[in-house]
Amino acid sequence: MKSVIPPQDHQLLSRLLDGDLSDRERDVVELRIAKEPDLRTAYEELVRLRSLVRDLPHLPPDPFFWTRVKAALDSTRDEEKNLLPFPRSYLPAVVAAAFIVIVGAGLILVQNRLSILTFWERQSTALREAYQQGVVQGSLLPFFSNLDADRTLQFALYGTLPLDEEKGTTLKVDERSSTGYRIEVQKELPRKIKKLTVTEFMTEVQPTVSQRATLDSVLKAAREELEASVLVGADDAMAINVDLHRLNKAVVSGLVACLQPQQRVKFNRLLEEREAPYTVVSRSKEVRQADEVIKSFHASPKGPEFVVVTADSMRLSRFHVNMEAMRQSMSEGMIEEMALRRERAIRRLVSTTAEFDGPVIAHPDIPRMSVTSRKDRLTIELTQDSATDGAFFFNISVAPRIPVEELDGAFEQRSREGGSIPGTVRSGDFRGRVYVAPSPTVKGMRSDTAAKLDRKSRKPFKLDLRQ
Amino acid sequence: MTTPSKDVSFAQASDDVLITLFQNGDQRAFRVLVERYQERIRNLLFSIFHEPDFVDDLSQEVFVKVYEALPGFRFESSLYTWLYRIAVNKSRDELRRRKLRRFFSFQSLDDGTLAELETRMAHPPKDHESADLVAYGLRALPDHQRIVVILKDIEGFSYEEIADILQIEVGTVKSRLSRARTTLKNILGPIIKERIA
Repeated sequence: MKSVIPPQDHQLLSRLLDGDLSDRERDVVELRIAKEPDLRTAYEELVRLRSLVRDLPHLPPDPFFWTRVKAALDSTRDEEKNLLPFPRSYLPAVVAAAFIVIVGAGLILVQNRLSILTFWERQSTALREAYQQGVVQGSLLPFFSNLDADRTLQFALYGTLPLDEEKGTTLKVDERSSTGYRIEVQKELPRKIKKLTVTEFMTEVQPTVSQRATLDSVLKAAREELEASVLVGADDAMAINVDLHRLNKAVVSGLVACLQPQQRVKFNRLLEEREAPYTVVSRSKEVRQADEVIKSFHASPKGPEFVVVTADSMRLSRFHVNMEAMRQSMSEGMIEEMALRRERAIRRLVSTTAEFDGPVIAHPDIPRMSVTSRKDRLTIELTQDSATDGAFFFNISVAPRIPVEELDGAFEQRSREGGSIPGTVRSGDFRGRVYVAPSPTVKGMRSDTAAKLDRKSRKPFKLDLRQ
Repeated sequence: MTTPSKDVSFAQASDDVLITLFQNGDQRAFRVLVERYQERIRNLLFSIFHEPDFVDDLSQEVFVKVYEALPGFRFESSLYTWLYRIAVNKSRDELRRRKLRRFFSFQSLDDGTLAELETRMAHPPKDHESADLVAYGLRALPDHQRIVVILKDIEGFSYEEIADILQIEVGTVKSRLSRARTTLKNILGPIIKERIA
């Protein structure tokens, strides 16, 4: 039903209903209602409407309403509990402090922007140049295609890897360099060494089934790491991981860390028998798991750095190596390509007479690098500020074994009570084993005698001499 | 402002006294206030939504909001109208949310309500059905008109109080109420005519 009453009259009726009209207004409207049937009907309908609305049912009382409100309040308070690591009242002060720190850091950055920019420029330039100047071009492939557990163990113990057995080319990591280490690629085979196979190693240490699995995992991971450490580019560039010298010590330490103390003694005896250049000193009896050992293989969390050498240039560069993609390439018939590249690279590198020597830009640990290529031998020498003779993983030191005949020299003998006694040492003075321990391990070492020996090379290092 | 005495009975204390006690840290005063107004707020919300379960949830939210805001209450209006303002604002928020949901789901509840109402109005309603139809009629009103009718005819507020609660002019209240009543009268015509006859 549509109303025919004008809106202003409706509002008057509505106000009359609510008692909002003045006496005069009410009289006028009531007179009209008496005279106008439509207006009267409309007003009666409004009265009835109000009555209907007022009569709408109410909700029954809720006796538990307060209980629910209280629960809701408690829940809200729980949600608002302070999750900050300091009282909420400190928040403005913390925000202010954070603001000051951010502004301060910003100012420092702005003030040092030139040196920061220079640093990044050098970093990016080194990498860009490596690519732009054709140092490493095209796909990279592993240098070695014939690695197995035996060869990996051989490298770990003796630091040598046959590159091309037919032509007698060998890669050798020589960690006896006095100021750093040396990576050599040479045509002549190193002096005859007594090989140690994995089978012989296992026979000697008699691992349990689970130990055997752990040792296999460690050797497998070491093999993969080694594969990724020496690479060859499409342009015959050779890239060698600068941490290669560290890898073999890490593998030896890792193998020892998986063994029980008695097995470690047997392993050391085996190393001595085979005239391995290392000796192992273990200061912890804790037996480690494979995962932990494998983690120690990775020297830098930023990724590996490579010395990239071509016939006419050399660089130190960091680049990411996608080994999975590389293995994929190998499985797609790249074995022949690898052999070809390897042969070309060795021929070009070893047979070329060249010499580079210079500082390394923007590298904190390796200030100088030299590459010499002559007489069928490529030698890469990396000078380190903090050259160490040994490696330390899991409180196990792997150090060069010094031939007894080289022990002649002056030394300071440290007594248990403290202080030191100067003296001389000759190889004939000792019977039994001689362990060379890197200097940081001497402190706290339970040795009968620790001596500081001044070798002919004038290189200071410390000895743990056990009769 | 009356200074609350320790001897004042909570149940007999005025709103202002209870608020002052609460603002001074007496949590018991809040319970008295809740119990004093809970049924009115529940019924106000029931008039707006006609959904008992939802009304209970929304009423709780209203009193949680009151609990949070009461420490800052400045006695510039009566607690009564202030409480209703919070409840009405909560209702508006909810109605807005529902409208948004309808918009995104491409449905029109208003059309559905009116259609159902017209179908039911085709036959004369029985007495017990009248209340339902009036409730349906109210729901068919635009939100801003429905709330004015409820505040005036159900809750019995004056124009000034409604203006205070809704934060609008008194003149707006009068015109909005007149339009709402006209619309509702047109919707519920058969019931009203029958009762007059």
